Amino acid sequence: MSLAGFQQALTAMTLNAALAAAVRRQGSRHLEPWPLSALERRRLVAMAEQPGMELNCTLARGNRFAAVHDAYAMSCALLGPALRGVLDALWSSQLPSSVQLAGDAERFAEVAWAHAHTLPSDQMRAYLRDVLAYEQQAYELALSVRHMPDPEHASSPPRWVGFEHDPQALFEALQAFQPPPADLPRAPHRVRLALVDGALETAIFEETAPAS
Amino acid sequence: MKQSRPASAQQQRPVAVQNDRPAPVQQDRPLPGVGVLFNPALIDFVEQHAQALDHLAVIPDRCWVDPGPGAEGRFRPLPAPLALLDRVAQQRPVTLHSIGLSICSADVFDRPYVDNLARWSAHWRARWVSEHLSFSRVGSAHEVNAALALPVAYDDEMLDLLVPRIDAVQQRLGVPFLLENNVAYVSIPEQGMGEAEFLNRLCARTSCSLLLDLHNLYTNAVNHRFSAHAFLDELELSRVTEMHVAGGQSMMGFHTDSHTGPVHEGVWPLLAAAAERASALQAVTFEFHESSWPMLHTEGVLAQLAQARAVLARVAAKRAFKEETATSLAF
Repeated sequence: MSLAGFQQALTAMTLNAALAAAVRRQGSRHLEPWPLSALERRRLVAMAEQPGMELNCTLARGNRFAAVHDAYAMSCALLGPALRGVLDALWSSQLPSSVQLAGDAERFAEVAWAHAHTLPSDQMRAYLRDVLAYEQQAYELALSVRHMPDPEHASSPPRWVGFEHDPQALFEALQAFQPPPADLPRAPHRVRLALVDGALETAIFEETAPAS
Repeated sequence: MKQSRPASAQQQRPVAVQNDRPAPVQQDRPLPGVGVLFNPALIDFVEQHAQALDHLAVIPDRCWVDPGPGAEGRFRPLPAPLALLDRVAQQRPVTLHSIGLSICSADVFDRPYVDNLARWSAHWRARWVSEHLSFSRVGSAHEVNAALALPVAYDDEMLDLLVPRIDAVQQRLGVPFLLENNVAYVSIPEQGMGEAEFLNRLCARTSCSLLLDLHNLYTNAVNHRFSAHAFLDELELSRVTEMHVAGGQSMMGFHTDSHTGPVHEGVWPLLAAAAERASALQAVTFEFHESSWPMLHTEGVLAQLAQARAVLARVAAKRAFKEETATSLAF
């Protein structure tokens, strides 16, 4: 049944702006993976040629990004211009499989870290390692209680994340969507995250050198 | 969704009796109700201003996790949003506005999703259930979601796909099932018919009713340069049970259905025009995305509800005047 092929091809173009652009520029030969009638092929080429197809691609990306941003807002802010490459890599490796667009947030930290080399400095890469680890733990904590009978009052054992730089300085800048200071001194800290009565509590501790 | 407050347009007035014909009985027609599509920004609003709402539309998909067909643990409830909706459902009558069925998907007709929808419809005693005339899911073995509601061609092939599905959904739900007109930023060429004709034929062949989203209509009319009023003239408005009103924003040269802020000013005249002929209209629902709450606050939401009521009251007054005029002019 080629209607299925038509819908699959339209979905593929919506999720892959490069494919839509290729169809727009070079026609139906990029639609060969899908079983299509001649009418469907003409329809898809005509749709790819419309300005609205680019908007479709952008809106689909925006919807997919919302789930990632909810979990990794500070990491996304820290990545800055490098974020686009991370998202392209994330979304080209995995298609959304449910209306809730699950899966992207689960893999974001792994893919973002794999692209850390695109950040402009070792300092920024160190910041990313700290912040990604923190947000990943916070996300996993939120997931761990969402099916509990009373998640709004749930509590959890604490989790610890090591920071190479002052977490407070990083949090203040990134939560205000500002770049962190470029030259924070190396200052090891430990951050404790826990759910207490449904709220995420974060406590910051300076690492102290062991007693000699 | 009958409004409890009286409408001044329904006052009884004496009519002249001409010849032997008895005076016609003036039929009281209650105004449609006005409500909101619930989102998390409205928690306090619903609890503090329930009297301002005649109904609440809710998105049931927010209350469960669905890893998709064939997966374990489909529709596992999320206690927090479920408890919230259980609370709000005690305040006002509820309708369901689901987003996950993808009834126009050629690859899949998700009967377990329909079964789940029926369970939650019964749980909240929903007055009706609405879905979108679009598709977002493709693939049968390994499902892919388009992350966007995509348009369908208005042709006989899509009609033939939809008719048995709508009948099956209607039978399973046991409450009215409404389909919402889609917003589409790309148009499909070489279609068999226009959207209005398609919707008319769909309603003629099934028992479904329509959720007429006026901002979707406005958005399509602006972007594809056609007359929204001409569309309304062509559409069989007597099959409309509910209407949506919303705002949008400009993006990449288009007007988009972003549900941003207050109702777009271009939508109110459409509500007035459509409500005049939508004889079965029961509810008008204001939709906004929760990110717009800082723009609206309580006062802004109340203002949209008040504006909707004012439009409906004017429509009712105009209708009553026309009926009286026709009666007094009759021989």
